[in-house]
Amino acid sequence: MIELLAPAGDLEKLKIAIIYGADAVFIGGTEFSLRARASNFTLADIKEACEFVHSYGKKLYVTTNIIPHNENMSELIEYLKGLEVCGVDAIIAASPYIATTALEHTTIPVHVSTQQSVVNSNAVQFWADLGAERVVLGRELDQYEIKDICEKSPVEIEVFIHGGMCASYSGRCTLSNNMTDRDANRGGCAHSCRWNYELLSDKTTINDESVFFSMSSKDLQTLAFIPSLIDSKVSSLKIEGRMKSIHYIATVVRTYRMLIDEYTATKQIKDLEFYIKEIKKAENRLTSYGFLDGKPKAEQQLYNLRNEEPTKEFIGIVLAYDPIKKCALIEQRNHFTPYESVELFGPSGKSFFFEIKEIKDTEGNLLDAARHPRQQIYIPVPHEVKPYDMLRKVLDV
Amino acid sequence: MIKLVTIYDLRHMEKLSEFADGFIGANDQFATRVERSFSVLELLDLIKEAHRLNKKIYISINQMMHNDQIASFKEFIQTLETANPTGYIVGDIGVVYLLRELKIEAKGVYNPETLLTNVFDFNFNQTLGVHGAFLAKEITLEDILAITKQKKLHAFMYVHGYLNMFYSKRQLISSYFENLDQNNPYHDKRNLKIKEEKRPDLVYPILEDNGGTHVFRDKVFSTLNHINRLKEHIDYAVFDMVLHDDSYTYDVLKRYAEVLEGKEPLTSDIEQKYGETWDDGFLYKKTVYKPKKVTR
Repeated sequence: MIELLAPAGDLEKLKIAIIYGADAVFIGGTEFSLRARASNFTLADIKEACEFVHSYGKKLYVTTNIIPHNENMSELIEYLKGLEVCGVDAIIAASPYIATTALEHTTIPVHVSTQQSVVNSNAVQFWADLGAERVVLGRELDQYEIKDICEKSPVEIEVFIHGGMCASYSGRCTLSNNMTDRDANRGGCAHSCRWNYELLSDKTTINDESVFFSMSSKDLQTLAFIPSLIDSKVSSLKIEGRMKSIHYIATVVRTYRMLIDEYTATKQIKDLEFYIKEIKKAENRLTSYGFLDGKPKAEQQLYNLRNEEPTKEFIGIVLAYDPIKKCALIEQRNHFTPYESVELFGPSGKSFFFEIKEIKDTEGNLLDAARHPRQQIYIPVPHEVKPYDMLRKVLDV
Repeated sequence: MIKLVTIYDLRHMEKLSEFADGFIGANDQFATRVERSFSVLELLDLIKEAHRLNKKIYISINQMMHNDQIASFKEFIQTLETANPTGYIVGDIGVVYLLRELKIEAKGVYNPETLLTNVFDFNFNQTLGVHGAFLAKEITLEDILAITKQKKLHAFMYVHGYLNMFYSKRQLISSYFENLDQNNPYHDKRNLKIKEEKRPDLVYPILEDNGGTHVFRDKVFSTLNHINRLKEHIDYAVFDMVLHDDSYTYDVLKRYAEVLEGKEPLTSDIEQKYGETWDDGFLYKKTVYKPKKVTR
């Protein structure tokens, strides 16, 4: 059974990812992890996270994927042993030294990070011989190359299916180091590839005056390619985005979960457009399919930093439901008012629309708006809902 | 310390041999970001000329390799081996494994550009049986000395040239003009630059070739001021002359030779002659680890 792997920037996101259908999550620890700005987990957090994930029969991986300098090596063994005690199911490493240290000093399996940009079977074999359990492939491969690598691979293969993309070969880019002094391979990437540039031939500007040159790629969205990846016997499908919101995580995970389940059960996807629309409810960046259909062209690139508005806005999460009063206790996440049309959705894949008739605070006072972040409020809901279901309003986009 | 230099024209090898101990050639079927791509026949001539001059000759294979290139890559290597080049500088660990399969890993030099940043990962390459490995371009002199002090295989280091800071398989110049519904007349042109909105004083060379797109540092990396110290620690000093010609190479090699003989490290005249600025990159500049907030 193919694994759906989701990002988790904090414990709440981790729970949402698992509840909404991820088979495994990956998180960053406080040491040796990229994504310095993501809310990284302490060892105590990781232990709690492991307990939660394992209680669902799912897996948890910890990123230790920096390219370390000499100064970063102290306490590596202690840290890895700490992860082992927590019960993590694998580390994701980019440095052969970190990988071999984990294999020699702990029983934690090693997954090879995409920072190594593995794009051929010989490189997979190298990591397999080193003792890795899984290799995360570089994002420069088309679906047929992935199939070929899977067929020849002695270890599990993981492929990115959704989220932000490096325009460069991952791990080989030092734009950020050079332009901002922030180390791209040690968690400080400033995303300089996404900035606007003037393009010059000698001293003559050759870019269009209304369209800057940019190296930025659109985010990855591969719904149409999931059947091919499943048939190729990819072991794990990875969603990127440890810094994304719980609404994004829930929506993206749930959508891929439903699509994977439909294809696994029926060997077909009846209505791909349904899944595309679902993703758009939370996606705020333009997306494309990267290298999966061959070498990217203009369609895969992003110019003038264009964004896309999600078609829905996350407004609250269900804490409890009273089936007799048909009333839900909601934690507010964004402003909303009575008489707005909303969609309520949950991990099951089912959703329904209704109009908010009234909003009450926990004292029973009627409110003209839910305006306070994380305020607990009651609203009438016509059908039964469960904790962690989410409420979002339809946007006029 | 052996000085290796990328070569543009076989006819200049003899003159450059005055200062260079060896050369680096490439073919763009398997290399990228090269000033000149030599055909296989030309590479064979390059190897023979190096042997005639009693110099080393390395072949650069710095593309990331895909499975569909492997068969032709093996043929390429087997052909080159008939002339017995000194070695192969490879950017992909999978290619190191291919060299092992061909039983010539001892000729391999692993150059993953950015990844060998510490003594442990550097020395790990000894287990692969390669001849040497490149130190990462973005580490400090202190780190370089710490690594080379404990090195278990030959240390290669870029000591001069435009160093790349971005390598994409995407052909980004072509995509840009495609987006404008225009043809791209700038593929493989050496005079393109980009300038960022908030850094108008800095222009970065950019090159799109068959292997992808490369962006280079705005200044030429130079270790002229440190070469007498480095010579005690590194085994191979590599002059990467992409975006330069052989006359520039001659001037630069001559200047390094003079400094190695004890002369003052004067740079301003060459910088002025070629209209470029030299700096010492990250030798004395530590990159920031785990910034609290990333700002532009």
